[in-house]
Amino acid sequence: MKNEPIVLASASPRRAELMELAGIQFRTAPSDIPEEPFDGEEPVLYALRLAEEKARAASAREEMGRFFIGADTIVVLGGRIIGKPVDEADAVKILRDLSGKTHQVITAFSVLDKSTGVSTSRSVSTRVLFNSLSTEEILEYVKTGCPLDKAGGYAIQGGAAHFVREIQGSYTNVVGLPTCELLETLRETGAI
Amino acid sequence: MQQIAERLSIVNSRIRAACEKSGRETSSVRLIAVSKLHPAEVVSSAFAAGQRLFGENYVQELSDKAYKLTLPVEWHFIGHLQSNKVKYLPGIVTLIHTVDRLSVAREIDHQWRDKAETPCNVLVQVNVSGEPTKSGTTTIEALELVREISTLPFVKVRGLMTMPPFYDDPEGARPFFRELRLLAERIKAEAITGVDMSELSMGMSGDFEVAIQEGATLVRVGTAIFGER
Repeated sequence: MKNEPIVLASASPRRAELMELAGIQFRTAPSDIPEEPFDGEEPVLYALRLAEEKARAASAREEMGRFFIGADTIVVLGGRIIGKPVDEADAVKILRDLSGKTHQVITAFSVLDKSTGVSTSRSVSTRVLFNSLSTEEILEYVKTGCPLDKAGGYAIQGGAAHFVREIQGSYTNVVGLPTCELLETLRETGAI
Repeated sequence: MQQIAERLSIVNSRIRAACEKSGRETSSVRLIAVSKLHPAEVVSSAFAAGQRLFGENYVQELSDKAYKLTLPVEWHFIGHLQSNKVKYLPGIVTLIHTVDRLSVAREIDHQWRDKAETPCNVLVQVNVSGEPTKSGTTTIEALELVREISTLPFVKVRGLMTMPPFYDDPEGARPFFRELRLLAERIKAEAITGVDMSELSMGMSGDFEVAIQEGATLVRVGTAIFGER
């Protein structure tokens, strides 16, 4: 069973790349679940819940595989979840909000052992301080189309790298998967 | 009344099966037979069939039944609790599932200090879905409320309780049960003095199996045991 590749329940190429860099053998199985916070839902719990739901959804659909990883990344500013922008105008608004301030990037992941039904979930938070961004900078970045499928409207490893003045905590967590913590959990659960 | 014994036995075997399916000990889940709006006689019948733990939603009804029945049953209060009714509960209940605001916790502290020797065990009720019609604190405010309650010497937080929105398919409730468990794990990690998160009260007649799979330790079952009211 242990030789069966781990299943990453995510369509994100960034997460797949991080898994590869960490030397984890895996295959991907995107899981499509509704991503909508409950009213008054605590942000970390929302991310943890989605991570678990993604792992469960993938494990229910896939015939092969024992360990399933689900993950969800959110950006939190002033206690509120900043979602993915709905359009370019929204992306501009979000980046203006983040400009010159510190926000939190929280990635929750869940490792589900299908043979026992037990999932082990964890969340990691990184503080990110943005430069003060000019309108030109924001518009230029939004024009690339990059912000649209990203939590908080930016990707730290792409064209927004120079927006970031300072980060405190895990870098890979901001990209989409805290690999140190994930490796720990994979070892603890016997997945690797 | 034979019917109650049969139904109880069916519910208990469903609980066992759900525990097995999720790799849990059967002893880790307790069944609360919810006898609200049923006469005291049905409690006696269920007692005769081996049931010892009962839940009531209304203070008046609970105290009437508790004084009428001399059986050694354990009572939990599981209904919406108003501060002015708290004074009737010491000496009757072993657990209150529905503390959702500090004012009620303070009144429990006050009443138990006066009338009981040991603190009152409570669960904090969380409105996971955020439905405006439901009681309960939000998941955002839950940790702070638990912290505040932990300063009251005669109230002990033992875990969390929730009522998910109603779904025809019990799977619909799963995300809400899961969230309650995640919230409990989070609060537990804070290691607040005097607080433990050993109890998760979630799941009723229509969805208790799913709740058990998600970690319920107390399931509140009425209709499946006592029938429709």
